[in-house]
Order: sequence, then structure tokens, then C-alpha cells
Amino acid sequence: MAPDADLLESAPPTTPNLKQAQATPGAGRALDWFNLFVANIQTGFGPFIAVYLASQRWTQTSIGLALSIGTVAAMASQVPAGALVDAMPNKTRVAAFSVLAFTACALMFAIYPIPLFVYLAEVLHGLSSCTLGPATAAMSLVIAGRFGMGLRLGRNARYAAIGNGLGAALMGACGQYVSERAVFYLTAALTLPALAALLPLRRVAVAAPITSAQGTARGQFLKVLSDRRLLIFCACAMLFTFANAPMLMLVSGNMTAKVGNPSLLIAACIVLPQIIVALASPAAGRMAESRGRRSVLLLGFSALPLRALVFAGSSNPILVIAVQALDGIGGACFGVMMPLIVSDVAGRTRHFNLSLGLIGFGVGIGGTLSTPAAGWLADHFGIRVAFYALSAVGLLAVMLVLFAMPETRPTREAEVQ
Amino acid sequence: MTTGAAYRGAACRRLALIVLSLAGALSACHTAPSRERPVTPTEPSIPPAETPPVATDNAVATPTTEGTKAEPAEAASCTCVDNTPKPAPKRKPKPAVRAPPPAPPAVAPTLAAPGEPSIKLVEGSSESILGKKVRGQDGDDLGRVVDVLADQQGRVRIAVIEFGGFLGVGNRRIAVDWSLLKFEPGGADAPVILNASKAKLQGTPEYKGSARPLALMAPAAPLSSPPTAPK
Repeated sequence: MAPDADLLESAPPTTPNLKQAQATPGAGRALDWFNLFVANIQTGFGPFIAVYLASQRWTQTSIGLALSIGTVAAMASQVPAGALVDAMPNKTRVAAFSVLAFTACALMFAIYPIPLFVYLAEVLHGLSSCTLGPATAAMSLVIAGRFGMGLRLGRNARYAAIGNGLGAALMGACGQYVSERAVFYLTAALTLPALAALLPLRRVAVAAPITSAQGTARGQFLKVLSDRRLLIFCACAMLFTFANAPMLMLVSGNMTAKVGNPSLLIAACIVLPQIIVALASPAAGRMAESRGRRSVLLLGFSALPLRALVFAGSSNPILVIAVQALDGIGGACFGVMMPLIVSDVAGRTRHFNLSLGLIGFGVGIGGTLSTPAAGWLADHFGIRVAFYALSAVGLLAVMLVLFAMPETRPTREAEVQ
Repeated sequence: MTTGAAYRGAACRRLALIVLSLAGALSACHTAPSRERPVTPTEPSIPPAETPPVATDNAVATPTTEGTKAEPAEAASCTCVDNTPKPAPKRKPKPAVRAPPPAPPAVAPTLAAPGEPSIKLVEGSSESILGKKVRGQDGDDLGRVVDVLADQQGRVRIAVIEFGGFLGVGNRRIAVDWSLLKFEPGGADAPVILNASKAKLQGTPEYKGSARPLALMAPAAPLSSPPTAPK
């Protein structure tokens, strides 16, 4: 708790932010739309790229290389991109450039799917994803202020989930009925409304400086990065992602192997949790403000080991889809808590985005390592053992939250408010 | 030159090391099989640089024409060791009763000229296989051909097909006997017809890049491929 007290003393003025939030009601709307379109855009850049490149006569080796380049680029740029966003005064501009980079990536994929451009697009996409996330969080912080952050992030997650669900449905249909290539033209086209949504935000983010903390940059930098709460949360996030990321892959691979019409069921496994996220996120944000961060985290995290246990026990499609919807609970809680806890810890320092990058890096490691690990377990010991292992890791994450993770809700400010 | 580079600094030294080790690895690649090859036919351990042509001719026991030097020798040499022990136990399903099996389209052999390679027009039309759509006989979408596997003689044996999934999530790759595929005229966009039901595809274990995968084989295997066993 000591670092928090320091930060409070050095950076008291939260009221201007609050005023700003009230002064710009349109900004919140604009941010909603922006989140929705960005999530739309990101759907096309997922595992679908492998399918597209295969349709473009790419060999499996080159596809693997392209995807690895993307993963490495995204991982390597998490922390530097966070620092970069911290250094940029105008976060809206950062967001706009990131979206423009997405436009370029999508067009490169669509028009010239040759190795050079695909690799370039993968690197560019990895980098701009890493700048976009923190920039969005920073804009949210400016618009909503520290007290309104929980509610604001709940809304962000809601609209991102709507965007994800719509995007998956839209792009799935596009790939099925038009062509794989058309998906990337659609992606490029969707960057335009995302840019348009940023227009009302352009003055907001410039007007309000996020940081009011002073003191030597280096000292505070170290203080923030060695903050126990941040590190513990980073470990929690890593374990959670490790257990969560391969679940969909295992479940859907199993479905393709067993049921008659896998594509539709897998689509349900992807879209249904997004609907739950859209419904539950604002509640998660509210609950974080009223009951505290820990309880929301616990709720979201505990859904995970249960889900894994059910998957281990049954492969009945209806049950699997129903339980997969629980992913929405975990997704909502985690999606809202990740930027919220970071904003609690580092929201008024100059290192908010750097800290977000650190957590993003942890999440990235968890996600990257776990998919091959779970695949290996499933190959050698069967899918049931893989689910048991994921359940154990998920339980570990729950334990870590339960016994190590401190509450980060800023209590003293609540009284001021 | 490498010594000069080594004196210049750590980076150069590392580079030189990499170059050296690469060279070592390459030479190992070339020499290792050629050393093992002579073990089976007649004489062990002969200076590696000179043996390859002689040794491969012995090992493969194919017509010793000069024209077919590089590729068959290379293909045979890579898996020569692997070849001898394993196919023997797995060779049980070999009826070879059927006379008119759908002859797998032979690709390379027809092109081989007796003396020198020469440029000629390819007979019939040919088309790229990678990325081709696969359909069932009743028009079901069964995915795409994403890889083609050849055996040690260079004959195309297996098509790797990717199917299922949604937006790239939950895809499944399986190996399918080449002779189960039917190619129909219609150019590059025409799908390949796969002579198997969806349920059969689902029952086939996933292909994970193994050299000896389990594959979905044609009912009466025409040439009964040694590296794969019917499931």
C-alpha cells in the first residue's frame, strides 16, 4: 500500500478529469463506437490468416513462419510500445496511426499476399496492436477519470465484445460465401468507421494531460515496475491466459473431429461468449467499484477451472457450447479488470501504458506457451488430461488471486468523491 | 578470411563460428548418408566425396543411366536407413488383385529425357494442387489441399487436407491417399473430388507432420504404399 500513498500525494488532481468527463458526453459514445470497430477489425487478423494463406497456395512451412513472426513481433513490442505511448502526448493520434497501420496490413494481405508483404504486415500488425490497446485505455482514463474508470472499462469491453461477435459472424460469412480474400478488403473498409469514430475524441485527449506526477522519471519508473500488486497481477493474468487460451482450440478441434456440422458449432463457441461479455461487462465494472477488484477477479477466474473440468468430462456439443458461454464471464471480468487494476496502480504516473504493456507481455507469454503445451498434452496423453492440466493451472490462478493479490480499489478517493 | 574476421571482434567471431558450423552441418548432411549407404550393399567406409554416385546406384538398384543422377540419388539417400527396417512389418495389406485402379497421375517420370534434359511441352494440362478446394461426391465442402507428400521414390502418395473449423479456429488436418482424389477438368478453380464421406474424414487421426502418418487409404490400395497403414 505504500507506493499507492506516494502516488496519491504526488498526484492529487483528479477533479479536472471528472469535469471533463461531464463536459464531453459525446466522447464516451465515440469511444464506444471506436471499440466496436477496432474489435471488428481484429477478428480478421486472427487464426484466419492461416486459412487465407493456404488458399493462396502458401506452403505450411511459410504459413507457420508468418504466424511466428506475428507472434514474436507482438510479444517483443508490448513493453516498448507501452513506453512509446507514454511518451506521446496525444493518445488519440497514436490510436489513429495504429488504425491506419491496420488498414495498410489488411490491404497488403488482400492485394499482395507474397511473403515480403505478409511478413511486413504481421510485424506491423503486432506493433500497432500493442500501441492501440494502451492508447485506448489512456483515452478512457482521460474521458472517464479515475473514479469512472470501472464503468468506462465495462463499456469498452461491452462494445469490444459486440464488435468481436459481429466481426466473427460477418467475416465468417464473408469467407464462406464470397472469398477468403474479401475478408481482408472488408477489414480494410472497417478501419474507416473506426477512424471516423476517433474524430470527436481528437481534442479530448489533447486537452487533459494524464500525468500530473512529478519527480525523476527513472525512480518512479522503477517504483511502478517493481510494484508488488502489478507483479502479482501480472502472474495471475499469465496463469489465467495460459489456462484459458488453448481451451477454445481444444474444444473446437474436438468438435471438428466428432460432430456433423462443426463450423456452425464452433462459430457458436466463438460468438456466444462475446454475447455474454457484452451483457456482463458493465456489471463487472460496477461490481469492481462497489465490491472491489478482488471479488470480480475471483468470480471470473473461478469459472475457468470449472469449465475445463466439464470439457474433460463431456464432449456433448450442447453442453460444451453452454459451458463455453461461461468463457464470457471470465472474459468480461478479466477484460475489465486488466486495465482497471493497472489504472489503479499506475493510472496517475507517467507509466500507465508501460505497465499495461508489461501485463500484456505476461498475457502474451501465457497465451503463446500454452497452446503448444496443451496440444502436446492432448497428443500424448489425450484431450482429457490436457483439460485436467488446464484446470489445474486455472485453479492456481484462482489461488494466487485469493491468497496473494491485494485489493487495488482506491478507497480514499472514494470518500473524496 | 575467417581468421581475419575472427580477430576483428566478438560479432565477427560469432559470425565466423556460425559460418563454420553451418559449413560443418552441411558437410555432415552430405557425408552422413553417403557413409551409411555403402554399409548395406557391399563395402563399408569409403571416402565420402567420391562414393555417392556408385553407392546410390547400388542401393536403389535402378537402371544406371547417367541421365537420372541427382534427384533419385538424393531422395533415396535421405531415407535409405529408414527404409530397410520399417516397411517390412507394415506391409501386410497387399492384395494387389485389382487390375484397373485409378492410376495416380504420374508427374515427373514422363519428363525425363534419356540423355540430356530438354525443354518440351507438357502433355495434357496441369494445375497447382496447393490451396485447391476439396469437395465430396455430393458436393460437401471438405476443405483444401494444403500439402502433398511423396514417398522415397518421389511418387506422390498423400494429400494433406485441412477441413472444418470456423475462421481458422478448430481446423483439422488429415492425410488422405492420393488415389482417393479425383481431378476433374475445369482449371485452377475446379475443386478436387474426394471419394470419402465426411464421417470417414472425421475418424481419421489428425496429421501432425509425422513422416509416417496414419492416413485414410483407398479401399483396395493399388500400389499399397508402405509408409501408411489403413486405419
